[in-house]
Amino acid sequence: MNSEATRRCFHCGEALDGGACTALVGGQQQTFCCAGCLAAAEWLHTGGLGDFYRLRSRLSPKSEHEADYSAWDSAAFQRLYVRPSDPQQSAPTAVEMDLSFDGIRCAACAWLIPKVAASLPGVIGIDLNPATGRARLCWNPQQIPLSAIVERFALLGYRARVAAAGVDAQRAARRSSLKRIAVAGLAAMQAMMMSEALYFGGTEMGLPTRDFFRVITLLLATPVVLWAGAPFFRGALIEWRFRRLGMDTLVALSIGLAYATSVVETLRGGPQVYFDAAVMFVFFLLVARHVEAMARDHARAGIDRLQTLPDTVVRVAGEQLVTVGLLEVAIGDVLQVAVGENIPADGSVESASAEVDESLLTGEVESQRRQHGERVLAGSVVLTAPVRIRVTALGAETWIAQLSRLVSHSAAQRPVVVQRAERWAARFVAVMIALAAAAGATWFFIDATKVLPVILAVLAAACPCAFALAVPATLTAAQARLARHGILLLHAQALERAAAIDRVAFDKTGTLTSGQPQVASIEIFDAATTPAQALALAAALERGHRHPLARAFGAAADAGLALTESSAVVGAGVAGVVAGHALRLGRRQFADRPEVEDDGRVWLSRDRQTLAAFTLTDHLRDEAAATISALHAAGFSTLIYSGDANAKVRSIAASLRIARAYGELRPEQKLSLLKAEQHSGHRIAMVGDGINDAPVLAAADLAIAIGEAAPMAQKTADVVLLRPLLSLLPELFATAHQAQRVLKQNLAWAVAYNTLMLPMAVLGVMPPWLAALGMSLSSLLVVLNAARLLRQPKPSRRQRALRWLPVTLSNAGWRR
Amino acid sequence: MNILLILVPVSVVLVGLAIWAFFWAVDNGQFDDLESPALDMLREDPAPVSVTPPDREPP
Repeated sequence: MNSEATRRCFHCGEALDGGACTALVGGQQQTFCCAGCLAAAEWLHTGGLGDFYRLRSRLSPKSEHEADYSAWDSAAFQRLYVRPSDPQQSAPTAVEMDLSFDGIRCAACAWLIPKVAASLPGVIGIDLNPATGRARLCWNPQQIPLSAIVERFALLGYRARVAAAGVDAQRAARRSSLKRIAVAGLAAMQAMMMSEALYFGGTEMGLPTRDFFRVITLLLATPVVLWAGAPFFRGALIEWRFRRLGMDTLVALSIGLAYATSVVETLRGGPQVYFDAAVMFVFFLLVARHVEAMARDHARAGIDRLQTLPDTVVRVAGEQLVTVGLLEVAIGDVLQVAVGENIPADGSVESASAEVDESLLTGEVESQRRQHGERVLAGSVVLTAPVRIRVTALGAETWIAQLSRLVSHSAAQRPVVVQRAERWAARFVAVMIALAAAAGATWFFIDATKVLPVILAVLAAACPCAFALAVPATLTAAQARLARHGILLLHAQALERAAAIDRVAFDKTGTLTSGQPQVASIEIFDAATTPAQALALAAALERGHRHPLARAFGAAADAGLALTESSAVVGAGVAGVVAGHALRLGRRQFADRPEVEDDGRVWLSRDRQTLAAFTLTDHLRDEAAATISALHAAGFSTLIYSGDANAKVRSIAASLRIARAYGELRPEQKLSLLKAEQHSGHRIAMVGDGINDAPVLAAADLAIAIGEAAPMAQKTADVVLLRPLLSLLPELFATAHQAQRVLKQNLAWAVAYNTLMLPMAVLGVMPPWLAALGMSLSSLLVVLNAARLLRQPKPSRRQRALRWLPVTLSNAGWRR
Repeated sequence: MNILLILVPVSVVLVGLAIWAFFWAVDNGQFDDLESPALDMLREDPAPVSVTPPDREPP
C-alpha cells in the first residue's frame, strides 16, 4: 500500500489532514478521518457486513455520526409523514414512511441498506429503489424509535430525508406495465401459433377444426386486447375528449376493429379472422412504451437529489436553542445553522458576518462572504462559523425550490422531436381514417365482401407504428448508451443539437483543470526558513479548515506541528499560534501589510514578519490533452472562453494546442464572442460548470455541465457528464452522430414502408394479415436498427476476462 | 388429429400458468431491483452461527 492510500480514510476516502484515528478493523489496522467513520466501519464488521468494503466500487459518503434526528420522533413530524402500514403484511402496530437517501453511489450501497435495516430489531423492512435513492421504511415504533433507525443510516453516511409522495405510484406503474407486457407477449405467441395453422391449413383444414382454432385464439386474444391493451383505449378516449387525433386513436381503432370483426367472424363462421394482427399490435406497442417510460423515470431520478434541505432545524427562542421540524418554522423566525449544514430557508444574516458555500446553487466554488442583513439562500452550506439567519422565505417560495420546479417542468416535457412526430402523426391519422373509409365505401360498390378486409388492411398498413417507434426507440437507445458512460441528457433534443455541433468552447476553471489548487511555487522572505518549513506551518494553520484553498496545503505537507488558538477571519485568512509565535496565512493585507494591494498569492507571516508567499495553481485534468486532440481529430475546433488572467489562459491553451483562447472575459463578452461565432454559421457546445456562465450556457447550442460538484448548475444544462471526465465528450458527439444517422434511416424506412403498402391495401391486393405482419416486421426492424446503438465495440480478450472481476461487475451494476 | 383437442387446451393452460408465475414474481418484487442482487453472490459466506435463529424450532 503506498503512502497516498494510507493517508485516506478507510471508510469515506477523505484525505486525512492530521487528526486521524486508527483502529483494528476486520483484522487490519485502518485509519479514519473521524470517530463516525471509525464507528461505521467497526459496526459493519461486527455485524458481519464487512464485505461491503470489498463490494463497493465507489467510496462511501462521510459518516454523519453527529446527525440529530430527535425531531423526527416529535408528534408533529409523525403526524405529517408517518402512516400506519398495511396490517395484512406486518404487525398491527407497524407504521411506515417514505424516505429519500443521500449518498447512494453504487450498487453496494443498495445492497448494504436493506442488510442494515434487517439487523435493527423493530425494523420490519425497507423497500429501496437504488436508481432514485427512494425507499419505504416499515417499522414497529413500540420496539424502536424512528430517530434510532435513521441515525444508524446517518452513521454509515446515508442521510435520510423525507421523500415526497410517489414511491409507490412509480413502482405500481412499473409493475403493471410489466404484467401487461407479459400477458400480451405470452398470449400473442400462442395466438400467432394458432393463426399460422389457420393461414397455412388453408382449404385442407376441416371447418370444425378451423372453428376450434378460432375459438382458442379468441380465448387468448381477449385478455390481450381488453386488459393489456386497455391503456390504448383509455388514451384514445382522452384524445377524443380533447378533440385531438393521436397515435392512440389509430391504435385503438385498428386493435378494436380487428378484434371486433374477428369475434363476429368467429361467431358466424366468416372467411377470415384477424386476432393475430390485434395481439401483435398490442405487444409491440406495450414494449415500446415501457422502454420509453423507464428512460423517463431514470432521468427524473436526478431531480430528486435537488431536494437537499434539512428536515430539522435549530430555532433560536430567546436564549434557548430548540430543534424543530422545518415545517414548524415560520417567516421571521431566527434559526441557527451549524458549520457544514445546509441553510434550510432563504433569509438574512443575523450574525455579524457569514461565510457560505453556494456551489450547490450557483456552481461557484469560491466561498461567499455575507455581512449582517445580507441575503443567504436555502441550500447553501455554512462555512467557518455557525450562523444565525432570520427566515424570509420558506419551502416552495425559496429560490432553490423555484429552480427545481423549473427543472421538473423541463424534465416532464416531451422532446421536440417526439412532439413534431406526434403532430405529423395526428394529421396522418386523420388522413388515414378518411382514406380507409373512402376505400371501404368504394369497395362497397365493387365487391361488398371485401369492404372489411380492405378497411382493416388500410388501417394496419397505414398505422404509423414504425414511424411512431422510430424516434423514441432511437432516442432511448442513444440515451441508454450515453448513461452507461455517465452522460445524462436533460432534454432529448440535446442529442439532435449535439449532432450539429462543430465547435467546442471551454470555460477554463474547473473544466480543463481539476479544480483542486496546488502549490506551484514558494517565495521565501526569511533566510532562516526553508520552503518545507513554510509549507509545514501553512498546513498546520489550515488543518481542519474546509476552505477550497486549504486543500492546497493538504496532508502531504503536514508535519504535525502543534497548533493553538486557531481562528479564521472570513474572507481574509487564518491565524494561529505555533511554538509561541503568532502566525497568519491568507491575503497579503491580512498576513503582513494592510496597506498593500492584493496580488492573488497566499502570504504567510510570523509575528507580522513576512515568511513566504505561495503561488497556487490548478493543474490540468489528466485526460484533457487526449480529449482535445481526439476532438480535433474528429473535426471539431476548440476554444477557451475564460474569466481568468490572460497569461494563465494562454499557457493552458498552448499546452493543450487550443489555437483560440480568450482570457479576462466578463460573461457578456463571452456571450458576444459566442454570438459572433454563431452568426458565422457555427454551432457551439459550451462546456462549463457554473451558473456564472449561465447566460453563455443558455445561448450556446448545447450546454454541457461537468461533474457532480454543482447539482444546480447541472440541471440548467442540456447534458451533464456525471463523472468529471472530459474524455466523455468525444463519446457524446460520436453517439449523437450515430443516433442521428439511425434516426434518419428509421424515418426513411417508416415513410417508405407506409407509402409502399398503402396503395396495395387500398387496391385490395393485400390481405389484412399480411399488412399486420408487415407492420410488425417493420416495427421490429426499426427497433433492431436502434438497438445497434447499444452495441459496444468488440472488447479485447483482456477486457472480456476483466469483466468477471467483482469490481468490474459492480461497476456494471452502477452504470445504466 | 383428435389429439389437438387435448394438446391445444393444454397449451392454453400452460400460458395461463406462465402468466400466473410471472405475476407472482412481479408482485413479490423480483423485478423491482435488478442490480444489487447480483452482488449477493460475491459476498463471502458468513461464519457458521452458533445461535439457532429465533423463528425456527430446533430439530
